Amino acid sequence: MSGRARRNPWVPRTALNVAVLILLTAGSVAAQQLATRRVGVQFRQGMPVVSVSAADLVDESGRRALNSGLQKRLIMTVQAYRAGSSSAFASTTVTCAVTFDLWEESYIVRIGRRTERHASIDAVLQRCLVARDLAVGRAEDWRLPRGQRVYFAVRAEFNPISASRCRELLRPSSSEGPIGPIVVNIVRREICAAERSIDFRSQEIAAP
Amino acid sequence: MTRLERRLLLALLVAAVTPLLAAAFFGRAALRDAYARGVNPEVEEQLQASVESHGDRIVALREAADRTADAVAQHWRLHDAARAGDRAALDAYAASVLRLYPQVGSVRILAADAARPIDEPEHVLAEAQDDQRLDPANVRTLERVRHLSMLDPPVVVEVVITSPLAVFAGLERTGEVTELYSRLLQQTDYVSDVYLWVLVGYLAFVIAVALAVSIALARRVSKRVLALAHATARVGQGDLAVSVPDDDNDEIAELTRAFNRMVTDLRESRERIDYLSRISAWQDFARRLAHEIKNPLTPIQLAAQEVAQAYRGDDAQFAAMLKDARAIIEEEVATLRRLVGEFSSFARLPTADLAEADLVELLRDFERGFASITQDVYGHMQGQPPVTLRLELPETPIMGRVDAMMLKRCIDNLVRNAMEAIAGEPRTDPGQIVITLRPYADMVELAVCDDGPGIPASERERVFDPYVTTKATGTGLGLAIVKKVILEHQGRIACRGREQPPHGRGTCFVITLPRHLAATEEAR
Repeated sequence: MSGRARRNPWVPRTALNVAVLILLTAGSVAAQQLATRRVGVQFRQGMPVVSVSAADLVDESGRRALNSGLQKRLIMTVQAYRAGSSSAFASTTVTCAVTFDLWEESYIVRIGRRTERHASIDAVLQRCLVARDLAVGRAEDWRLPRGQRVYFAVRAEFNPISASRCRELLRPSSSEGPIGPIVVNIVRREICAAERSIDFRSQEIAAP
Repeated sequence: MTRLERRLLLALLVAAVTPLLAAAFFGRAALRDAYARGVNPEVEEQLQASVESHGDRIVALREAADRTADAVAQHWRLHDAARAGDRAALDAYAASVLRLYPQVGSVRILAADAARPIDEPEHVLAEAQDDQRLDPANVRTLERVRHLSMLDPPVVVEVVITSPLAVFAGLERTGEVTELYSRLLQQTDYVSDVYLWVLVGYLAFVIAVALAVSIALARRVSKRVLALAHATARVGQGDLAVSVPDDDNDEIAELTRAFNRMVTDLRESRERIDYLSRISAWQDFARRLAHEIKNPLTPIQLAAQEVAQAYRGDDAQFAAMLKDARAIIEEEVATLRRLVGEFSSFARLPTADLAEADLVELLRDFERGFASITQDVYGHMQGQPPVTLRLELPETPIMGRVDAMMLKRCIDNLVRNAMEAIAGEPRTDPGQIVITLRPYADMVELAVCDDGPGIPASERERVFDPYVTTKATGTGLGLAIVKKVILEHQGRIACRGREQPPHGRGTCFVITLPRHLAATEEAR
């Protein structure tokens, strides 16, 4: 598991960003080196469903943030990799927008177009960060040779700002000339990144 | 890339990168300072307080809603009407609640019957609702239910409290801004450094462009310097025909022009030296030739006379033959004596003795003696001489360092050549010889032009060589002497055609002499 708190920046952050980008693109090398956790995997009609918990993403400070009345995003991404392969071939993301409603004293959880209300923060974490029988990818992604070994990488993020919202919030000033837009485009990724994230992988299993 | 280009590039690089590094060093602190003016913990604190304030307001509104529901449920009018089962009074009370509490959107009073679901219509004892207040586009609602089980019969009161949407939107908006602000604050160094790197990137790009332009310019300069270096090397190897293009108007072009002038001067000097050496050799040859020919001439002539006088016989035919032979020998000896005289004169030609003289006056003096030249050249002719002389001279004196006698002899020679050329062709109009004197810069140009038959362009260069002549009786020494004299004056002479109107044809001998500027000014 790898946690990431807010960093104290200086140094070649741009270079760091590029490195992170390269690592994200390279994918499997980083995914293979992740810590392993137990992930329940079952194949139903050739498609895997996984059961996994990333509830430890939200610590005490996270809970306080979820109770602040401001919207926070919890994102869990599960990606499937062939053993030794360089890129994910199937992926599923669960995105929750969680707001503690100070008016009605309950948690509003928006998942896609669906809105749910939950009475407790634990219920919210169960809903958003504990997956039960979560299908990974589409059926056509899983036309694998029998016995192909695969593993799953899980990434859970606490409150990243979505790219569209980030563009909306962080706009270059019209008076900044040619430098502003470039700077804004560069810093957006860092500014809108998740406040905390954890990454782990499953053990390898053979596809039926 | 040449060494000069590399050095120029290095100099430019140092000149450009030094301020860039200084800008980066000082700019970093300046950018962080400027960034901190806008993004700092104090502002974040105020923003956080604003968020908390918005949250507190919502909590306060929620608590107020509870108190409102309690107040509505605990009112004595409600209790009296409920106990009495007075539905009209309950209706009036419900309506009065809407009037009394503007935040209440609706109120329902229901009979609490444990046996039946409370939502059935027959349970509603009284209700009042303001649809306008409940418009979801403007408000959020909160339903509060109060069970009044202590009443007989027990009732339930449902109160729907509204709160303006703007309150919630305010929290959401302020929260987003605060969160973004907090992130920007946490990333202060990162953001200001990105600004710095982008700025440095821009400057580096500008410097790269400037360097590219500089390289192009340096290459142009070094190319021209290199061309000069190559030309200098060729001059060093003896090639004086080299010339470097000088189309620009800068210092390099000035240097190039000076170089070209130097090469031209060198070439002319070398030609002058070559010519004078050649002439000297010819003079030596002429002296020997004259000596070798001159010595036997007198014995030949005397022998011929003696043979002719010694014959005492009666053979008249033989006597006549002897007489003819003597006459032929004497004539040829006379011709040889004349040639020997000219050769001797050429061989003894003195070196020019230069002294200050007014060229205008010199030419006017020559003009005064023109009649005797005409007599000398055309003496055997009857009537008007077939040639006129015209002088085109400046009004003021033109001083030069010349050997006046030798220069006059040169002009005499050129004019005589022109007169003989004009006389040698059939023509109806009189020929014209024009002598012009024209100063320019530190030189003076003296031209002797005629409208005679001219000299073919291919022969104009050769006419100054000794023993080259276009005349039947010439020795070919006259123009060689002229050129020698002019070269000894540090001048130049050229033979040109007169193809241009108005003269149409003829020959010009153009002499260029150095001008004595100081003396000219003094003479004026």
